Amino acid sequence: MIFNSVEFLLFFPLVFVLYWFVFNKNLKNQNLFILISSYVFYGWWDYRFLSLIFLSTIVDYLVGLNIPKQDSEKKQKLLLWCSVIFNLGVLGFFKYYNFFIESWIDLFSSIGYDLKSVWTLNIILPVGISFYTFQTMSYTIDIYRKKLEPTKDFISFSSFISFFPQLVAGPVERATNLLPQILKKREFNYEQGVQGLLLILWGMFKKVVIADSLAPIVNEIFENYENFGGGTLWLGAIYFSFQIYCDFSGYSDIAIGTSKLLGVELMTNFNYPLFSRNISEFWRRWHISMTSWFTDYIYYPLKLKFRDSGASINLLVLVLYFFIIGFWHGANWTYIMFGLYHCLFFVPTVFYPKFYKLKTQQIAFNKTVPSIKEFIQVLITFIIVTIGFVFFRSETIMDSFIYLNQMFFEMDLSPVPIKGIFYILILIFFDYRFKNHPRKILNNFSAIHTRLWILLLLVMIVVHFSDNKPDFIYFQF
Amino acid sequence: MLKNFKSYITYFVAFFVFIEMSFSLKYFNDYNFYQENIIPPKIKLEKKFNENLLFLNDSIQKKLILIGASYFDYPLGKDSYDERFKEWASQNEYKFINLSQGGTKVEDHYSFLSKIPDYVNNIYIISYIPTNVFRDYSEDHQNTSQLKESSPHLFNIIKNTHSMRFLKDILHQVSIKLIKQPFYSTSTRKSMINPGINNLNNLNNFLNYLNDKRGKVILVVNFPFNFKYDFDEMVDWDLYKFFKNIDNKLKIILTPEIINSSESVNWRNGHPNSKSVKKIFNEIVNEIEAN
Repeated sequence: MIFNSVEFLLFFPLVFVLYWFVFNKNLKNQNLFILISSYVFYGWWDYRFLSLIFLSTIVDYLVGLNIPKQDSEKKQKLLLWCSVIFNLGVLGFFKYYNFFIESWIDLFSSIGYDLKSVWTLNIILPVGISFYTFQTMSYTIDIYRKKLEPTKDFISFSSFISFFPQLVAGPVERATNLLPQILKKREFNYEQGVQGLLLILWGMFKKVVIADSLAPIVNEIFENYENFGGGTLWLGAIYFSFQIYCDFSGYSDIAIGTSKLLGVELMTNFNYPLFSRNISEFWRRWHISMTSWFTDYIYYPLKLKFRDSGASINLLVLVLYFFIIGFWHGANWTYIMFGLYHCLFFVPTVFYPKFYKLKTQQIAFNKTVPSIKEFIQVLITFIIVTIGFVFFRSETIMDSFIYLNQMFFEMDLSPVPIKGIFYILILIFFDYRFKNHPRKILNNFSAIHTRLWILLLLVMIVVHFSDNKPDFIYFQF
Repeated sequence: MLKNFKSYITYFVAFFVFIEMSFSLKYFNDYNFYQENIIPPKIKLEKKFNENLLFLNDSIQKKLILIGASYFDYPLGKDSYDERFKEWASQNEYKFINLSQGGTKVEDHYSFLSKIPDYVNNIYIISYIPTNVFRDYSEDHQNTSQLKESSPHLFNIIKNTHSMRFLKDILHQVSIKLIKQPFYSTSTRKSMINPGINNLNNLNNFLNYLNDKRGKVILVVNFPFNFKYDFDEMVDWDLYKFFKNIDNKLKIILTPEIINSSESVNWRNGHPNSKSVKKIFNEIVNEIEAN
């Protein structure tokens, strides 16, 4: 089931009513109902893959319970590795198996050996596997690190793993944030509910109005890039930057809003990355749950381990970190290239850790408009990010290089798809107004203005809602 | 009280402004980018015709010729009529010639049909959209157009706003649910329920022309697919009665008899969706293979 579908429009109100009026007596009922709803939500897509989630739940539940019982660090580590190998094994098989086989075949064929592709399998990628796998792993790792006590409540643990608002496309929640909320009875909070509804509305707007309207133009340009001049290709890449931002952050907003309506607070996943003043700030504002996961569980531990090693080892750690970020997105060299491209901009930080000034506040903080300096910084960062997204969107590495070559060296601004510019201006207008209150949109607006903005967003969503809606891009990951 | 009234007026006006704005944005035609859209449909059809002229003149080759407007060439990818017929034709050693083109009129179809050398091994599949046909052909349409031009400007503007068209589409859906007929005083209703004797005569002439073709002709009468029709009601509609009483060699497929469950691309749009195309395609193939 996807958020922008009629099924979800019927499913969620029903869940909401039953959750607060029928299953609200005690924690056990609430979590049992969350679990059932989550399995229905996921099973709507393909019920066969529920078994994978269930298996992952059982493995991590048992590993989590048994880690503290072990009398030695070695045994605890062994158990942790069992969980990690199981989770990454499942992920590796479903997501990366064919990629590795095909890469081997390509490698051998490049040196003259023609291997038959008998080893490639017709594997369906289970929706959301990259998200819930990392969520379950955070649980066992945090228990191993003694940051979290294991839970004996299997139903609550299963609800945590399969919590439907964020099950298929994040945010990738930490056990330390989500599990304590799941283990506590939720009470309905009106303010939280209203904010939840507003976030759902804003997320739907970004997905249905902006992302889905930009999608056909982006597809046309990227699929026929050889027919267009550099100017049009620049526009195509810019449109894609906005499309993917609205698509993914829209999903996150709907997920956070839906959770709020169920009395659960999920972590912020996007914090207005379009207004980042340098690439480091961009990565602290873009897909926060995934980047912070890799930072906390891979980058920092490795950096700590090799803290006394030279710059070359630190550089290797950095490359590995961005390689993993790129590879997490999908089994394609284009994603790896996307990760490595971003890595380039962090190389100076290996030698000068304070190369990028830490920006904690939004641009134009306490001001109406940004300064010229801020504007230029935002523009440069956006251009860097947009170039990176060419790798992300292209079918093959070769396509991305040809696309970039034409972008830079065949400057011809014809034809110009104007329609997308209107959508981008609308998005920038709203994002700029909301930027200081990421989780409380339409805050500080007068009552009449709030109602008018809500009316505008609603009308635009209804008008743009289409039966032939594209899926959320991040579903494929 | 007055303040509340002012607020309601503001919301009401804002609502229509927002609807108008949203639709204008959604349907904004990027002619500059999609330059193909600038070319008139008839010119595109002519190009297709000229590209296939060699095959059309071939008296030996078996040919499957598709002619019609957007109900036949709606972009549905591998589910489209084009893809389906292409595959069927290659399996059955036919040369598939697709002369369907969105935006073309019945007079265009007639004009290109009359240019095709008529051989006995030709199969013509012709799409016929009642609501377009009468709009294109009728004297009433010309009268209405003249009336539109002479009627007050503001009325025309309001009538052609996105909001009004949206409202009309909602009313059609409500009307078809409640009284099982399209909404009153609309061309959709008129074309299906009471097209008038002149329009039916024109239609009859066109059918007679098709009937005289030497090859096999299958006429697909595409009623808008966004409605579910009630056959008890339809038997009283002039258009339906007209088609049911035709007595000639033409094979006529009335789409509601094949699929009748609001299977269109969306509730406002009458174009067939993948499911409708599949069923109607199968029916056409059955007709072809019947002999």
